[in-house]
Amino acid sequence: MQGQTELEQDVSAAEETLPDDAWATVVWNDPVNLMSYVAYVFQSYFGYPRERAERLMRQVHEGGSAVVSTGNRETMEVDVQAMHSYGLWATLTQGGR
Amino acid sequence: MHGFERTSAGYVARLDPFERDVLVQVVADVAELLGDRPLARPAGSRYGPSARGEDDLQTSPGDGLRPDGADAWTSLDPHRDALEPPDDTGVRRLFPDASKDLSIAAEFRRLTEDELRRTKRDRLHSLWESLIRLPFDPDAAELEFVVGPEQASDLAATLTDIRLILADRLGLETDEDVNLLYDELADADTLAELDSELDQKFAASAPAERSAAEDVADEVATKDAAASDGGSTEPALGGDATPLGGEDLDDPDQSERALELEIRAVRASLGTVYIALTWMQESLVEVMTADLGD
Repeated sequence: MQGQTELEQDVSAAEETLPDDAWATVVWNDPVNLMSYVAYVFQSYFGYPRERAERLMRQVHEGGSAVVSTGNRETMEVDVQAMHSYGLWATLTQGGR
Repeated sequence: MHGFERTSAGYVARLDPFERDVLVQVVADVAELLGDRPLARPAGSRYGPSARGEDDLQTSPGDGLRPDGADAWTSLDPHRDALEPPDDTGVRRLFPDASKDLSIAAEFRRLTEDELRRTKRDRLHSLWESLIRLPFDPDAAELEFVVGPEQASDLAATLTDIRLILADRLGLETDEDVNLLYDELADADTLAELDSELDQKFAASAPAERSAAEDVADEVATKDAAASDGGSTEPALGGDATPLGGEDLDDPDQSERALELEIRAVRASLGTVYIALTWMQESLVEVMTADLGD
């Protein structure tokens, strides 16, 4: 796993393309979750095609984090709670904060 | 242990009775860590469905107290006070802060943690129930663990929760830590060597046989006890193990060596369970992913 500073830079970079007031669900790398499981969660929970789910998983694993969904705050809270239920480490952000 | 395979009956894994007993123990410990009432543990070689009455198999998940005193009912009150993050670092990983913004994180925790905790506890509880009910055939080398595709996602999630708690106890914070654990245990003789050295040292002095399952249970439970007392959050592997003391261990060098061996043995059994569960989860996710399609 990477240091906190690197992680923060990664997530800032990922969020540059989002509008200031948009909320996002960010999933972070951890040493325990299996790559195959993380991809499974992205595919089955978000309904992403396999290819997109695996690309996001690799972004988490290699880059330290990935924005996995965006929307209003309430929807993102539901997504973050679901990620926590699956055992993934997820946070809620708004406009890169 | 044989990993999950897809069959017409569902996803099927096979465990031997000892592996099942260790797993039951770990599942019960993690459930308790999350506030479940105490679940029955296997009792050495006496364990088996035939050795216990139906009365022992209470099935309703307990709505036990959170270690810090909050209980499930309080979640029904929308005006309740904020929940503090869990003291135990392993439990905290299961209910992480949802934001760097502390007020957002606190609000999220207040709204979601009790429900999440119940979900995780209920999943552990049903895994525990499935495991203790696996048909026991004294002639068979292994027990069949059949999981319906509709339950597989819950099982994969609960295996994650258990592995997260074990990883916390093992101090696995980076990918490198995990690789080192595999290296440490890659040599199949590691456990056997430790066992035989421990046996030789303590043949005369060890008070009672301890099973690997008991060691694992102590290890999982120890830190929570410390944490819920507001005590140390130091990794339990650092110094909680006590040497299997005897009078011949008064020599400080001998007793230091004994302590080191004991710690290594506990770490090895905990690590072995972690790796076995990882492998089990990998096999499960593989068949689940295949069934999802592209």
